[in-house]
Amino acid sequence: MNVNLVAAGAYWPLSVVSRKGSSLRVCNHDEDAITLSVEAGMAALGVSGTPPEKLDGLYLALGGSPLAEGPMEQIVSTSLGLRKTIATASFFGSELASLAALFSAEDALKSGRLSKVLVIASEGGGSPRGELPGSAAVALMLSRDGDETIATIELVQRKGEVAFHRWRENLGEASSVSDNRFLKQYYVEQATQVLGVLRKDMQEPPLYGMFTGAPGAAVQEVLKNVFGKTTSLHHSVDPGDFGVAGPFLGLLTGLGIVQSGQLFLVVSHGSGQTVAMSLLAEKGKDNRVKLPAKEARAVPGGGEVQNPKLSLPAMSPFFWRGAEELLRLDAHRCVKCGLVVFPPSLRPICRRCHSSDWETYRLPRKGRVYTYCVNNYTPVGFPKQVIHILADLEDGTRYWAPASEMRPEEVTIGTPVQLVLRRFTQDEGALVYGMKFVNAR
Amino acid sequence: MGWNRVAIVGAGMTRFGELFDLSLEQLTAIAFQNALKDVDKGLAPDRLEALWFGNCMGSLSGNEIPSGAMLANAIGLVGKPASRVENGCPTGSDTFRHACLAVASGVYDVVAAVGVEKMTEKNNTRSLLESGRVGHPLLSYGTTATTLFAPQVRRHMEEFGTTKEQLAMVVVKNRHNAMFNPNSHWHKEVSVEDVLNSPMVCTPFNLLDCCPQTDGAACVIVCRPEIAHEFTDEPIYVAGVATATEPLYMHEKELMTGYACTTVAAKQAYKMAGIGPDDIDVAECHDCFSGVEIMNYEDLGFCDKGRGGPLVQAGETAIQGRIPVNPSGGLISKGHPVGATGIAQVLELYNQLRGRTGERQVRIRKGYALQHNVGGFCIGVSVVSILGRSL
Repeated sequence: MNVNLVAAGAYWPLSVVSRKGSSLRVCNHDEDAITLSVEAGMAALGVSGTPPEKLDGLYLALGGSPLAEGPMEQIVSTSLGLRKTIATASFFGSELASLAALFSAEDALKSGRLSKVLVIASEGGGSPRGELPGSAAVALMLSRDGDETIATIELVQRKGEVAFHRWRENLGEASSVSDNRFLKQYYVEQATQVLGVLRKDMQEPPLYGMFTGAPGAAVQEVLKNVFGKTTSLHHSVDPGDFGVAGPFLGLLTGLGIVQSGQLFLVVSHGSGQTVAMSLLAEKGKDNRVKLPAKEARAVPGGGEVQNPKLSLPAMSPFFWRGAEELLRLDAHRCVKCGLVVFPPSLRPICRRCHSSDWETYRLPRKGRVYTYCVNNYTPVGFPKQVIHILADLEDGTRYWAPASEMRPEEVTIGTPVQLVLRRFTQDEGALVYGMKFVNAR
Repeated sequence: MGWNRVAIVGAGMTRFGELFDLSLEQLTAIAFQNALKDVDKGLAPDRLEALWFGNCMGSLSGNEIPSGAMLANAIGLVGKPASRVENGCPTGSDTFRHACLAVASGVYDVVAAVGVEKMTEKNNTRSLLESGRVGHPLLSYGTTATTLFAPQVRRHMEEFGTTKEQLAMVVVKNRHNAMFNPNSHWHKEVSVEDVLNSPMVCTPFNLLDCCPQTDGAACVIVCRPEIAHEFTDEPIYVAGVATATEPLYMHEKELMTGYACTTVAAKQAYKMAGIGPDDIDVAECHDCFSGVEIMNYEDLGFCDKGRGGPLVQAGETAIQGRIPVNPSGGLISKGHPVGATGIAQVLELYNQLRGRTGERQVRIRKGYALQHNVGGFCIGVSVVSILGRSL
């Protein structure tokens, strides 16, 4: 098992809450595992320079996902501009679903069925109250061919048992108390056995490593058991507990630390299982990895999830017909006179030259506020306050959308903004996604 | 001068307000009977050959797909041809326009245009605010009447230095005018400070910058000019009437400091009438929100682009000013029962040109008056009518 990593991109929400002295990334009320997946996927595609149509597989590992069923893979795929004929799969139910996705994708590549795939691990996270885990998404681009490889990932060993990750007592009202004694004991035993294999195979332990999903105090004991008192392994423990995204964030940390030819150890734990992987970096990785932005902001008040009834039900054919235009801003440009119209499904004939000969034209995402309003009296079920922005986009076209994560006092004419995919509503389990403006990053 | 193929010979309305005690049909009947009574030499209902029914919110208020039959049944003229017009905020004025075109076509001699709206049939949160649930599910997400008009006003403030105080002055003027109109929804004067201190609804509109939610009905009777003197010695003529549309969604609009549809409709109406903005003695325009009236001044040619704020500040649009606007109190004071609004504006101007509006009477010099509405979901349509005292 030897995975060829050719690019990686990550995203986490802007919002943070404070939890026991450290900060935890949490989704805004209109973000979830789907929107995070799209952001991470776009980061990986962008940094790799790979045209989306070159991909033939999309593997998703989702945690805290808002949907138990439905076209999740298609929402992510369409948003990223991937071909409609690509292979897709999604993995749930375990903190290590990301590794299941990774190694399944690898199987497909090795068998020759697929040539270039995106594997995205996305953790929607707990709640804005600061419950575990934190929210983040990482997209890894894998290739069958070795020529673009920036790192190889190898599975070292794994072990699984019937053991619940958190032994806790629910005290109601979103409050619980965990007893970490049991977790610590079984984890130390399990991780010691898994890493023991590595110790036998290697003369020297790797220089660096990261432990995800592990109780912090237990890691020292594992290292002592495996490598002895004088271990030279510089390790860190996944600081925010990023659920499904944790193992991939571990790999991403390695990509950021180790030099060409160096080995990085990632030991991930979740759902009763411990998995150890090694990451071997190659040259040229620096310009193929997009790390998440450091920028953070304390969660603003009023970030409650709202699921307003829209003018058409979420499951209606409208959202099928309009998927490309709503999820990735595919507009139309008049072949005859160049006028850009949006949404194209509503504008079959050019208002300037009366032609109906169109070409697809994707709107840019960045722009500046042209005008706006802050509405404090909204229809029933909508957020109590909605900021509407009309922005001049970079190519001179305009777009009108609600703002997200922006405070009224931050919005004025000229403010730099960008469009991101966000959830507009949930309607009997069907989700509606579309574009909103956020502060330019 | 002008088109003058139609004459107005009678006009009536209900009082405007929160009329919980009156049904849509009752309001319709009151306005209709008041219009008949208003015909100086009398008019028998059977003389009417066709009816036009302006009603916008029918579908939103529980009356699914109202038709012209609703009007015919309300006013006891069952059997007569009747058509419903729904065209956004200009529904009333477009109803009037269709009645005029029918007479001008030569098919009918005498017809009635009746507009009516029950804005209070559903509670506040379920009436106009529900506009957030019509239109495109995402491009219209969370929008209300205010968000359709606020972005242009904000842009106008940015480009021309129009101030919140100038917006408030529109309200102060129209609230003052309404004190002399017994049919107005509001009868309470306000100060600039009152407006600025009222709750912020949607920037840049405070509560008092907004028109109320109002019930009401209005009716005008129009006929061929050749027979107008059968009904009155003082008919008023339709010198011009025009409508125009503009790019619909906010991101498609090319003009964001006014309304392109208003400028086009105004230009066509002036051309039909053979006059210009300087010939207008009085105007009733679409002041659903204070700042919109300021942009209307410019779109209708009463001042140069960007000078709407100073125009109201200088008092030039007051009843005694150079170009009095909304002597009835406007939508802001009199109210905006959508289907009735435009027809009630025509009624006001009919009475102003005939010198019958008492304390709010403007000075009639050249004998022309202008009526204007703009709106529709996302604001895409405007109607401008010009009325004249002589052929």
